[in-house]
Amino acid sequence: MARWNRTKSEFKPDAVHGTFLKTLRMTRQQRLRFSKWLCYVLLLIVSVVVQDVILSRFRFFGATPELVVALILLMTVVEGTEVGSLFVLIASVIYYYTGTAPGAYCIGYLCFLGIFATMLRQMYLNRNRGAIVMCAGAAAILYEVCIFATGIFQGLTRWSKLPVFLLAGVYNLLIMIPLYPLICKIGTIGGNTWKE
Amino acid sequence: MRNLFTTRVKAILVIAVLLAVGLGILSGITGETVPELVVKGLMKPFRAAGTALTSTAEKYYGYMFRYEALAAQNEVLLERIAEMEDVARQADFVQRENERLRQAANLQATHEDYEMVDAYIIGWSTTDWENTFTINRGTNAGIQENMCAVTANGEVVGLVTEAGTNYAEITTVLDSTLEISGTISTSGYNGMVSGGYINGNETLLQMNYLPSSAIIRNKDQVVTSGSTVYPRGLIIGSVVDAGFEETGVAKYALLDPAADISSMEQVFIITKYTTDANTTAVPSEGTDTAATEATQPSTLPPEGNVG
Repeated sequence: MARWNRTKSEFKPDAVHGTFLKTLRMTRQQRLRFSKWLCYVLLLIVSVVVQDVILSRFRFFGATPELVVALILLMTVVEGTEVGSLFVLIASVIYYYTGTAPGAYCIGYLCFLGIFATMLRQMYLNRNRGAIVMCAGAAAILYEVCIFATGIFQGLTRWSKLPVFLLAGVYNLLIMIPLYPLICKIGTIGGNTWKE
Repeated sequence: MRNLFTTRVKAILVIAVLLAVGLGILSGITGETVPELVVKGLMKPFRAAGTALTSTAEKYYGYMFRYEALAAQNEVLLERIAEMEDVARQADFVQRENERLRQAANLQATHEDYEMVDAYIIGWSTTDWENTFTINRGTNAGIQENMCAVTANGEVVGLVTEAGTNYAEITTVLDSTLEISGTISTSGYNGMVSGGYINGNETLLQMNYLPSSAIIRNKDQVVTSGSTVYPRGLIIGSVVDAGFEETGVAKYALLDPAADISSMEQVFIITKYTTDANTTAVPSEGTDTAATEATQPSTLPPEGNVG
């Protein structure tokens, strides 16, 4: 033993090359889930920017699609009640704080509608593209109706504008169709954890 | 439904309602909250980047697809600018004309006996030995030879030396062939005014045959003495210099013409006026020649600078 201490090793140990996520000492599954939620966050940030910078400039028949709302509701329905409920709460609060949302009441509307749309899908429908988009789309249309009702209540809009709000809801539904494959792709990172 | 509506979901719904109400009230009271500022601050670079990207994309889109439209628009705008400049020029012209006619109306109000015809200058003589221009009216408008041309302010411009049907030629006071009988208005000295005498300064007039004892003041006004050609009292110019003639028996004065002949556009021809003897003079019928107009005897001048 004493001899070992006297002699000095000629070789240095290999440098540990790891990614940032490896240095967090997480398991592979945890890293993948972290990546998945990071992708969701990035997608939401991009959608907020696109909504603010590009979509807000255009009006199709007087209505503007709300990309962020469509994304939040679609992600909620895709993730299911357990995870989706927490997600929709956090996402709607952040959405409110970005300044893009019309008011704090949108947090309540998004949470209620997102969770009930998810429940509806999980209870009565299969897990497929049509069912998910239909449930999330219905929630998006109802969200616009709720926003309209709040506007009427506050005296910020008038009844003749109802078709415009409904049209915006339909646009949100239509946006979900191309978004669905992307959300599904991100949702399956780290394996399918849905329990149905 | 019971399986999915777990305690967690219920709690989240309750929190959502509380947050919606609480944040709504809070924002109503305090305006922007700290979390709002933080989130907006974090989003700012992304929004700025998005805006920059969009602007760049729009710019390149414009280069690629809107070039022809922009070129066409540019052409249309250039045409419009040309039209507007033309309108502005016309407006300027009309304004100047209006001003001149207003002045001419004043002149006519002062001299009710004058009958005048207005005309525009359409050409200038190009030779060095004469100073004439052509106007756009002639005998059709009642203009005849030996009629006097003045500005709107009653400043002598010259004499009609040739009259065609629809044009007339005016010899200006700057021409050496034209002589006008003039009077220094302040002192009453008479002399003959003509142009083209002074080498190197052809824009001045010379008033000759002034008495050697005459006291001539600087800026004294010289007016027409009155004849069958020129009505009395039209302004010829003002004295800028004076001196003795070569013979030493008479004085001369240099005059700055009252009419700015080089920048004129419009003149007024006096076709008829009443002389002091209450006889109506039609200049063309009278005797020509200002040169034959007799100079009246000089009167004593007031004290002043000796020219």
